[in-house]
Amino acid sequence: MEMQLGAMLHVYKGEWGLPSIDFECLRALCLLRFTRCPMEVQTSSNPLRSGTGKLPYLQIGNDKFAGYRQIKRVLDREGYPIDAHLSTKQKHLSTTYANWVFTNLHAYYHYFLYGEPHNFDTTTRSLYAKRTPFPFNFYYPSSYQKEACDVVQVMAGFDVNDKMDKHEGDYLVANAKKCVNLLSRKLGRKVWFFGDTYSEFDAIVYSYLAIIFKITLPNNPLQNHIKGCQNLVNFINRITRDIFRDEGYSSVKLTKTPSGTEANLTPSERKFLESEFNTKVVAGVGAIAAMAAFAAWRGIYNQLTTRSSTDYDGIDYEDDELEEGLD
Amino acid sequence: MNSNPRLAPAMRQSSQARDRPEKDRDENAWPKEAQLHQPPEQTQLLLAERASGLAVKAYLLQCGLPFLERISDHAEFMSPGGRLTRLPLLRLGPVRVLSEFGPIAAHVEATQPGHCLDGWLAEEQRDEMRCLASYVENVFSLAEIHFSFMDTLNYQLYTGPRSGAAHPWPLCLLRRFAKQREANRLLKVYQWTTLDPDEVLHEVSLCCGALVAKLEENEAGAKYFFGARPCQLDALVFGHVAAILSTRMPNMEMTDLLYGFPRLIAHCRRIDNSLFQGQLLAEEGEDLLDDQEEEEEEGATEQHKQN
Repeated sequence: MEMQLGAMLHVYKGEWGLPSIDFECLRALCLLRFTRCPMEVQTSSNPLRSGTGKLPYLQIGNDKFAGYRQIKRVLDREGYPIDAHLSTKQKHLSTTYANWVFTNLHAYYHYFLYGEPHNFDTTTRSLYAKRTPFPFNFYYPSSYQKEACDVVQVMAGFDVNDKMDKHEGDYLVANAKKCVNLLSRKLGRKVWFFGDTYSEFDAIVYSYLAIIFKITLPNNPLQNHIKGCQNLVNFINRITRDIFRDEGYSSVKLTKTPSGTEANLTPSERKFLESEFNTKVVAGVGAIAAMAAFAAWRGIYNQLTTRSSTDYDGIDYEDDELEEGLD
Repeated sequence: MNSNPRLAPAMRQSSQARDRPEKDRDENAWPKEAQLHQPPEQTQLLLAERASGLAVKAYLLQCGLPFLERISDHAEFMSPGGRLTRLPLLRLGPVRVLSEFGPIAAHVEATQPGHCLDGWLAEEQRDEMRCLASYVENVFSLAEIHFSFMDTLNYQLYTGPRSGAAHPWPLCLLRRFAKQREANRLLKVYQWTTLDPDEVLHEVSLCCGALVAKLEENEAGAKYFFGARPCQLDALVFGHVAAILSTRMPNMEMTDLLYGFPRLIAHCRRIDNSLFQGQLLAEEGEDLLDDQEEEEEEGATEQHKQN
């Protein structure tokens, strides 16, 4: 089996207790963890290393499979299909409902996470930038914004680059709320949407709702609506707690810190700063050493140690230099 | 270029119509001259647009709502926008304009309770039907668009000339590029650009399988998807299947795929016979059936030779 070649799934690191901050990565992770596939997950990945320039991607040996569809195909082939325990009718229903959820929530997700300028600039951009290696973190998050522009243009009919009052987000919110109501009704008191076993539909619902529910955006009308559906909240929390116990990640909040900014740092950022501090120290020492060496070469130490002669001034020193130059 | 300027209002109109008070009943009355606009079929209409148009016509005929068919070269520019093909365009009076199957069906459901097809369905069945309708529309339209624009043979011989047919040179070239760019963007948003033709056919066959399973779920003798009476889904499936079967394209793989689902074709013929007097599938269908019969005869003669 190809799994022996050290298969690794590269995703973005998570936040707020979730295993990943990105919808596609979360979907791929669900495929993996629901089926208990023994694959490693790498969270500090470079998105530009995947063939298509986006996470998630799966690396098996020398082959790279980028994107959710390809990863799903690989897992189906390797014997970890996500709908293994479903009957044929349930499989059809799963595909149908997954498509319905995609149609209603995809546009909402893209608009409120990436399209809305205030949300993107305050929260989402920094989230993605912290998880992208230098120097890509300056420009890479805006590729998500461009993608969102297309999504919103096709699915909702307005342009994200227009002024805010031309943004017709109400239609998206209304559709999303109806979708959430339907999902809550469908789930009822069950553990999974299809009773006892997981399905692809569970993966897609969890991926959308978990992020929309947990993300701390300035403008996110659906968050309160989801809070009102207790069974969906339980569904999200249960999966996060039980299945993603190891991958869930959240920045630890410090209680009292000397400077206010440190409280907002994630542990990863603190580590980064520490390593930066080391680099700063090394760089400082190196700079001082270089300056000292240059000064020594120029003979300043000789000047300082020799007794200052009456006719010592810059001119004599320069004459010496000139003579040396002539030689 | 903002090509969907008023999609959201158009879609909102149909959702708000559900909440309007009774005094707006006069406004919501079906006008005597509702017009259905489409580009000319011989020269301009693309596969996905034809499918959408047929679905809407079948739906309105089944509802018993009168409409006039109008041929307009620039119907796609008149359209207020839409998620997939933006056509056909239904004009109800001077102000209200709706496009695409979804919003039109939603509007009819909201404002014409007497004529609506789905009134007899239970709430759960209606949810399931709406989900299925959305799924079917997505899969079939995207597959048709993928086949029209991504397949080089189809594009060169069928889609390309038709995209620019309404305009003189050089505008026709610009329209061709613009339409192809738009189709690419649509496929990218729905994440279908990475699929190759076999995978597209696989998705269509999954969808057809789901539909056939739904047909077989009902008791024997039930003619439609949810029982003995037709609903939105029947009109939608008819529109797409009939369009694919009756459109002659250079690459006929999708048609061949559909012939592998005889129950779907029987369902389609039934509706064709009841609404269009069997004319839609008769002309092209005969040519294709003749080809099939020839193939079967050849296969039979080969078997004879082997024996």
